[in-house]
Amino acid sequence: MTPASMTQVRRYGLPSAVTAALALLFGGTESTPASGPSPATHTVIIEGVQFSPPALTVRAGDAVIWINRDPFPHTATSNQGRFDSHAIEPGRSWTFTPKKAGAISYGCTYHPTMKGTLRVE
Amino acid sequence: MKRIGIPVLASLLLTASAAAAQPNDAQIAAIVVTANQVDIDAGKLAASVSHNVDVKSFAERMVTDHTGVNKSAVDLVTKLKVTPEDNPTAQSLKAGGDQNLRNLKGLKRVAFDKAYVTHEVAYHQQVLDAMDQVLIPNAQNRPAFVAHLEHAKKIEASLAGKR
Repeated sequence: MTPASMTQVRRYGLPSAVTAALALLFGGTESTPASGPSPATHTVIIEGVQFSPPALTVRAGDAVIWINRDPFPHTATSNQGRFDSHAIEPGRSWTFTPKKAGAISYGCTYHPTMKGTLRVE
Repeated sequence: MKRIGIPVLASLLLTASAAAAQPNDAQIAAIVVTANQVDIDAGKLAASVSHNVDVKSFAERMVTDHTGVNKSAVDLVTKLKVTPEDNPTAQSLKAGGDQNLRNLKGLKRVAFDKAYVTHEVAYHQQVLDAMDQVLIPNAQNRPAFVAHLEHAKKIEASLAGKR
């Protein structure tokens, strides 16, 4: 069960014991406030020696996945040392989940013309 | 600086392209594979000879990237059941590549670096021009050549003051 559907379960008023049991079974999201948004997954496609979209805004805790569709490796490497994917081979992906708010500029260490920004709110 | 090879490559490519009719898919496949192979060969030489860290890593990148592009090109033509067909444009690319290698092998250190990088700028520009004018406008791999061209120009500028 996804965190979103767990929220649905609670919304429809199932007894809390059932919810707790479900949480135990499926890993649960009890620490996430029911009113807050569930973590989302954002995708950055690497294709044609570019990050697409080049600028992305996410919330702390969201996952960002870079997918390399070029026939050669790339990296997603922040200029401030926040993250470094190292080589993402063709057809492979790499995920980073930022925990802290702030603006992160990043690039590909192999191809200096590639630039992207990740704004974490 | 000696610039043997670049004008020859350029003129041969354009002459051959202009003289020939629009190449067919089999001929385009041969041109693409040859164009990549020529840059792989130059990159291997530069990666082993150059002492400049930027030139060396650029050369290694050219080997990796053009090998990847060639693999995807070969996968595509295999899937489409196209057999690459040799043609004057592919032959002139190969001849230009061989001439570049001969020229580079006679050079050392900064002279080598400059000649290699200058040829890389000309080569990537040439392939882009050929893609746009003759071969395949909107070619899937065009952005890679643009990125390599800009990268090569940056290194060329950084080498400009060196002796």
